[in-house]
Amino acid sequence: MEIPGLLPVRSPADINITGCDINLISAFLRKEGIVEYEIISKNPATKSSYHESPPSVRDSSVDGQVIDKRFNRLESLIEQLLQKETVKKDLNSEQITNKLEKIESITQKILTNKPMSHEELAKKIKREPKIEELDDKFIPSIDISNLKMKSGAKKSIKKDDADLDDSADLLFRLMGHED
Amino acid sequence: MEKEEKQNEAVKEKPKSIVSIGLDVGTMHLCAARSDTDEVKITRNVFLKLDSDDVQVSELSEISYVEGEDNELYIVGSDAFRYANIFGQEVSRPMEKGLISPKEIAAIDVLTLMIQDLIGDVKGKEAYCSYSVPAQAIDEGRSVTYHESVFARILKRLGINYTSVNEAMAIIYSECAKEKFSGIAISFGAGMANCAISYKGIQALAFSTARSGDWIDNETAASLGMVANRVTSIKEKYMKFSGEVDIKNRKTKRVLEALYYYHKALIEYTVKKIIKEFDEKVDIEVDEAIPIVVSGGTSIPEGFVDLFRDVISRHDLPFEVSEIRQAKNPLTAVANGLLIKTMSDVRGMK
Repeated sequence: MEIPGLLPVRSPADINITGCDINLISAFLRKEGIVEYEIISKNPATKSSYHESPPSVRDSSVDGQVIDKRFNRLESLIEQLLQKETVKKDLNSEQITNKLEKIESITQKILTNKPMSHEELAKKIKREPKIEELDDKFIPSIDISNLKMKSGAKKSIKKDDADLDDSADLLFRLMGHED
Repeated sequence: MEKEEKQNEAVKEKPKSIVSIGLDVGTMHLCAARSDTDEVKITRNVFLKLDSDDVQVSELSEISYVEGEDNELYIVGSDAFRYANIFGQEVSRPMEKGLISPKEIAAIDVLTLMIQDLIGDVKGKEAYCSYSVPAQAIDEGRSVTYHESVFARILKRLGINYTSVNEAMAIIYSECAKEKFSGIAISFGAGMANCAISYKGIQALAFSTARSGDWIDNETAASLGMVANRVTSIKEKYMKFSGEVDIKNRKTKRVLEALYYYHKALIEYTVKKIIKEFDEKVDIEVDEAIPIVVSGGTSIPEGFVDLFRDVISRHDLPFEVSEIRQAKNPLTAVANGLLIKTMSDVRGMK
């Protein structure tokens, strides 16, 4: 999910939207068809200003309620899944047990996992490299550590050293430098 | 006290000596000139990948090669052509049309070693290098940015301070000191024809076309149903535009005839582009006659400059030409000019 102006996240995630336009955020979520979300505020002033509006603004102190709601949602999903499984006649009891065990372990994981804060998430997301670093990535790395060069005969041509110094001096002066 | 001072002096690091370098990175040749040697080193920008089972390393005395992991062996430089004929293989060319070849990205490591070998040891020295880059081609879309960055990275890897300089401007630095670096330089290389118009050392216009030596070889080969390598070999051995060509072989004569037509077409094309670009893009009034300097490997055959004079004399030029001359050494002029530029820059740093 990529909310404009915020770092991209993989849902479900807690995102710090302090300083963002709440109407824009809700409009974006609506546009994306995201309906299962909560906007939580610790600031009583902000809370009151959003109490009337449709998105539910809840205090973060009621963490227990959030977990309860999540748990209920998960329960209903498991029920749906079990109903689906029973339709399949070819599954034996061992297979169903295995699947149930899997679901149980996933549920436990979800319940014990602390939801990640935006700051934690931002730390996890790799820092955007600078342009110079991007340039380095774009060009293949040069690794000559495992290569060994044996130099053979090379063509050499004698150069005119006197002309070189005079020309370099003249160019140096023409480029606006003083001797 | 005196003893202490002496000790401190001993601890102080000796200032590193500065070496200036000019590196010409051409499609066909790599060429390096250093301020601390009296020679310009040159090698073919080609290599041939062989398996080390194909050839014994002991057989490769006097031959430059790179040994890699997993029995890889790369014959580099001119000898790559000879071995390519023996093993019936095509040589790899790290560059194409004046720029680093997209087909030979893996060759950058080999190219790094070739450049390191060509430049020589810079350990314990503060090395400054100007390397050549072509101007953006007006008849082909490929950007020079990648090429420029790859060579910057190679030089950085070798511990050398670097800056890129336009290839044709390097010819101006090398050949136009007596005109205070005013003139038009055309470098007819293998991959590109590079052109720069300079006024007192300042670049007024620079552009390139993707037609030059390789274009001549490819068009001649296509016209006569031959392999381009064979055409290149005949061109380098027999091509001249003046005097008698004593060739009895009829096929070779046909190749030389076709080569003549394509050389003429190349000059015609380049001159037209110079006139067009000058008319459209040069704002400065060049009130004095300026020289045209012709350089690059494609300009080496005897009589090339006469052919150039002949073609250009049929055109109305938007500038006055004082003389048309060839670079003192068309193969090393760019490296020489780049060295002059580096030496001038280093003077500014002192």
